[in-house]
Amino acid sequence: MSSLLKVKNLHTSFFTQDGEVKAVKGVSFHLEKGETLGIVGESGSGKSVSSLSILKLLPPAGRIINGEIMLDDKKLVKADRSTMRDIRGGKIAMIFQDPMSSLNPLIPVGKQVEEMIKTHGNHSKKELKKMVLDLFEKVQIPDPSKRYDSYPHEFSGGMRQRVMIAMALSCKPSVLIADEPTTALDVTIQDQILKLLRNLQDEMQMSIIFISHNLGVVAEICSRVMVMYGGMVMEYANINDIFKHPKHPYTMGLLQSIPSIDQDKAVALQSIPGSPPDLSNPPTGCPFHPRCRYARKICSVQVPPTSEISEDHGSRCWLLSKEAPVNNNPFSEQGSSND
Amino acid sequence: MSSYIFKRMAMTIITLFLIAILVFFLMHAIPGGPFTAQRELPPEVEAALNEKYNLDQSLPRQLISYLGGLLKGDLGPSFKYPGMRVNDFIREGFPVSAKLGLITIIFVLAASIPMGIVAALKNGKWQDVLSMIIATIGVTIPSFVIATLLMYVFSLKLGWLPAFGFDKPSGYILPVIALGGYSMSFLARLMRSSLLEVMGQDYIRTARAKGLTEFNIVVHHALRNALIPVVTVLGPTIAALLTGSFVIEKIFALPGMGKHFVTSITNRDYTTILGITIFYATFLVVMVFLVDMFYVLIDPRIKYE
Repeated sequence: MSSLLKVKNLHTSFFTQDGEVKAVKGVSFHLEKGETLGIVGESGSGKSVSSLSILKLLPPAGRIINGEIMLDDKKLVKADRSTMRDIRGGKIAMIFQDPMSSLNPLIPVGKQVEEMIKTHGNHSKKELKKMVLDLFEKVQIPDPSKRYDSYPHEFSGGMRQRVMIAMALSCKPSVLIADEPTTALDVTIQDQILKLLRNLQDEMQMSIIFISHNLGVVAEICSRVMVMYGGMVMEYANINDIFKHPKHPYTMGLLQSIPSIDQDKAVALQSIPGSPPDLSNPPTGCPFHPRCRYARKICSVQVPPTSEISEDHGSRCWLLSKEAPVNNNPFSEQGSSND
Repeated sequence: MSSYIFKRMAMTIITLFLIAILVFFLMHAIPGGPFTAQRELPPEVEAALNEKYNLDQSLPRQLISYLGGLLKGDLGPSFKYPGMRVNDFIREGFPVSAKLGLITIIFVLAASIPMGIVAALKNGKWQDVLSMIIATIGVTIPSFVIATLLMYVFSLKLGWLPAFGFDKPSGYILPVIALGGYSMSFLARLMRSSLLEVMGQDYIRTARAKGLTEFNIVVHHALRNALIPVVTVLGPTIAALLTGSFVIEKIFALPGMGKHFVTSITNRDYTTILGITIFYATFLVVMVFLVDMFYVLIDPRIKYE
């Protein structure tokens, strides 16, 4: 069976006064029906731009340069505006990071959800209102009929995100792109929203692309993970392999940076030295090499190819090539075994 | 809400009285008086005049009697035009200024808002560049230069439009453009920048992600948000346009109110200065009040208690 959503060799750039900024450089992935794919990376790794590219919601300076995005059998990169409008909200819905600014402050929340349903189908006024109230019920907004006429500023952050989720789910999309949906919320609300998303996913049989920089959150909700850095996919694998057998120094660095609750207080928190690359002036070769403790000469010269470790586990690192040296190579003893 | 409106009205009346008192003292602080002229009057004549207009009394006493008249709606007699009262100036001049002002306001709104919207939506394209060139000219070149230029081209050279007076309806065209040029340009620029900012907001991206048409997004989501700063400026602008402009009325020989305002100052025509200032201030305060009320209609986040 072919995948629900396929992204092949996506290149997206921003054209600024200082020239072309390549935000996404050859990203490929697929999304199966009903699964949750996590996209992890630091700010500027290209995770949001990749997801915005799918819906072609890039800001005016951004453009898809190359690649193909397939939803079922529809090619989206060259699709016209009216096709994209049908897909946005109807087939692929999106929720955003900041629920504070993602809702129009001047329109009651009920109307904002209603508008989405109205755009993608014909319903009577009465039906519309009932559908919205049912959705509010589903996302656990208390007292829906009273909240229908409330304005966004009368809601807390978590409640607004519930409204966003209600809106996103209103037309029963097959794919939900959640771009850091819990980042702006405090931890208890985060947990509630994640649980809600998981329950709704089971109920509605949809696929989720979950973008986050928080590996803990990703572990909780995703079945597969894709780690991005400098506009490229560094490693992809199922959730167990990523946490138990990471095959990329960057993934390893990210995992080591997660503090554990029983950690000795005397030990300093781990971090990856350096800062993410400046995309308008990216490093040559592997984008991670300036921060990588295993970097060798070749890393700064050529972008490493993606080595397949097993089916659906790949990593873009020179350490995995056949010619890689044995010393100072965390992956050498393990060889090809992958249990 | 109604108690807020009541409070605001009381505040408005107090504000106007404070303005009257302030202007009264400022005006008397200017050297000279209504009867000081190049050719000196015989002292007894000046004394008689001063007595007639109560100028021989102490300032607080004058103020109190003036405020007493003001409460009854009487703005007092003109010192410079015997037999005329300030109320007469307003009664004669205001309709002329107000009619021109009203037409100008319609012109300003009808031109600036569409211009700003088109410029913002076609950001960087020729429509934007053209609108902003026009708007920059309107903001930078003073109205009297534009007025004379328009008059020279359209009245003198081409002979299409009358150079003065309102005898024919076409007489309104040039004064309206000259009077409204600045406001039109200013509002167009404001509308453009405000809409541009709104179009970059997260909730516009949300609206796009819903699959709405671009038209729908602009009309239902962007415009209302973008109009808030425009409405703020609109209040004082409308007040200013309605009460007339000395320069434009002078150039086009229009019998409006603006001329009285300026000549009364050079003439030290105390009551006229005060009367017209209070009249203008009333307009301004009322417009600002209306704008504040209008906010409630567009922005649910604003509530007055």
